[in-house]
Amino acid sequence: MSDLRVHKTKYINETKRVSFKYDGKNYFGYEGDTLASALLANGVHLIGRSFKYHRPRGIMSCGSEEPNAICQIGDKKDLTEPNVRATELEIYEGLEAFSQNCWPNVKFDIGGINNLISPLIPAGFYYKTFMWPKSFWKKVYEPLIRMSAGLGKSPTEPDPDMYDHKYVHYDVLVIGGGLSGIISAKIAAKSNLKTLLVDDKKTIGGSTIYQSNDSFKIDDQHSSKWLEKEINEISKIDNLTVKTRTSIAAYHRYNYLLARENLTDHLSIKDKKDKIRQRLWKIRAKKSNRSDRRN
Amino acid sequence: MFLINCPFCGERDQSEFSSGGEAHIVRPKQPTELSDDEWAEFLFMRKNIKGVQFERWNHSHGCRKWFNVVRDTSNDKIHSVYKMGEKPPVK
Amino acid sequence: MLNTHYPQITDNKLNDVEISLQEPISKINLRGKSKEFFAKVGKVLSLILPNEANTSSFSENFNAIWLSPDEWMVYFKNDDEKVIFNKLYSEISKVNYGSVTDISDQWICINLKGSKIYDILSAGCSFNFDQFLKTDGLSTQTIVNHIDVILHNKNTYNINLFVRRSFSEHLCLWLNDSAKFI
Repeated sequence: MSDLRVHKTKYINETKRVSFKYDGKNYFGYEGDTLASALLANGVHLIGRSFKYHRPRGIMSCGSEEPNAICQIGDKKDLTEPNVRATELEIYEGLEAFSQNCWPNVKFDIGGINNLISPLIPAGFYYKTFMWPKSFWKKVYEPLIRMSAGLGKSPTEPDPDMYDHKYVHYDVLVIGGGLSGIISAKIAAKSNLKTLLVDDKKTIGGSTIYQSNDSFKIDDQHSSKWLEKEINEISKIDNLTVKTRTSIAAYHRYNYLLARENLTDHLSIKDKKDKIRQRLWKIRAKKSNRSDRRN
Repeated sequence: MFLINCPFCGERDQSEFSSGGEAHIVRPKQPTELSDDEWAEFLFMRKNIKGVQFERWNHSHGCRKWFNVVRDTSNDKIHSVYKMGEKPPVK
Repeated sequence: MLNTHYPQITDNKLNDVEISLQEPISKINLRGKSKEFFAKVGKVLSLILPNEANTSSFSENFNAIWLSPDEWMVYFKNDDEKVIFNKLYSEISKVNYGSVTDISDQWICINLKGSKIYDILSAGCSFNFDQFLKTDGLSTQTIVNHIDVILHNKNTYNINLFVRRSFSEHLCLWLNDSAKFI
C-alpha cells in the first residue's frame, strides 16, 4: 500500500477490507472507498487512454465531473457496463473493473502509435483517406474503424437486473447536498414545505465534510463539525426526505425532474441478489409560478 | 410532460388528457354549397403555429369533459383554461 | 365471448399491503343535471349526491362517487340489487330526468389496505396522493400502470379501486409485483 491514503477518516471504514480486481490483478481497499480512491491507495495511477491519440490518462477529480478515469465494469455479456467513472463507483466485494480504449493493455497500448503519427493526421484526414481504393472500404477500413470507435464494450445480452420507477410530488426539491443545499432544504422544510434533498454521493455534506482544520470555520467550529450537527438535525425533520446515491438526469417543463437512485450497485455481489438495482424517480416539484391563475 | 388544470377536476398530469387540436373552428353553415377545396380547408387545415394557440383538450382518463386551453406551443406554458362555450380570453 | 371471471388474488398480504377482492357488489352509473334527478336519487337511495369535484358521499347502505359534473357512480352491497336498480330506472330513466345504467359487471372493486398503498400506486400513477392522506372520502379517476381506474379513498390507508373487468387480471398481477418491491 502506498502512503497516499489518509487514515482515520469517518467516511472510510478501515476495519473492513474489500477485495476487488482491476485489469485482472487483485487489490483491496476499504469499505467506503470509491474505485478511484482504492486504486490510488494501491499506487495505480494509469487508468485509461485518451480517445484518439491514446495518451495515458489518470484520475483528475473526485466525482461526476471526472473526464479521464472511466472504466469497464464486469466482463459478463449481460451485465458489463462501459464508461463508469472510477470516482463515482463505490467498491464492493467481487468487483471486477477494466481499463478502456487500450489494447493489449493500458501500459503498452498499440493505439498509442496514433500519438506518434499525430502530425500526419490533420483535420479532415478521415474523410479524405478512407475514400480510396474503393474496394478497401468493406474489408479493411470499416472493420478497422469500427474496432477503434467508442470507448468501452456494450453488453450484448439482455440486462437480467430489476429496475423500478415511481412518481413523487414535492413542494421543494433541492439538488445537491452540499453546505448550501442542506441549509436551503432545512429552511424549506421548517417552513412547512414537503422537501426532497438529493445527492449523488453516499453521504450528504459535499466537500465540506473534509474541511476539519482551522482554515475552514463556521460559527467558530471546524466546518465539518458544524455541518455534522446540521445533518443530524435535518435527519429529524419529518417533512424532509434525504436521498443519497441519487442523481438528477433530466429537468423537464413544469418542474418535472427525473432522478436515478442507485440502490444496490455498491453492495457485494452476494447482497445484490434479488434486489432492485436502480430506481427512477419521476419527481414533480411544486409549480414555482402560479401567477397565471386569475382570482 | 406538462400539467393541465382541468376546470372540473383540478391539476393533473398531461398523460390523463388527450388533445383535440385547434379550438374555435366554426363548422360552415351550408356544407353542401362548399367546393371541395373549401370543405377540405375546414376539415383538415390547421394553423400549427409556434406561439400562443387556442386548443381543445379532453380529460379522457378523468372526468371525460372537453374544455379549452390557451397554450404557448413553444414552451408549453398554459395561459388560461376555460370551459366549452365560454368566451375565449382576448390577448 | 363475455368475460365473467374475477381476477385471482394470491399472496394478498405483502409488505404491509392487503389486497382483497370486494365482489360481488352492485354498481350503478347515474347521469343527470335536473333538479328532479337529484330529488329522485335522494328519495330512492336516501343519499345526497356529492356536488364537489373528487369527493364522495355515503349513507348506511350506499356509496356515491363524483365522476364528472353530471355523472356519479353508486356502489353498494345488496342482495336485492335488481330492486334498487329497477326503482331508479323507472323513476329517472323512464321519465327522462337522467340516465341509470347497471355497471356491476363492467367494473371490479378491489380493496387496498395498509400504510404502503399509496407507494404501490405511485409506481404507475402520476396522481398526487398527498390529498388522500389529509382528507377521507376523496375520490379520483386516473391511470394506474396505463389502466383507467376509479379510486375511492374510504379513509386514510384504505382505498376501493375500481377497474374494468378485462383489465383487472393484469392490474392485480401488477399490484402484486409492485407490492413486493416497495
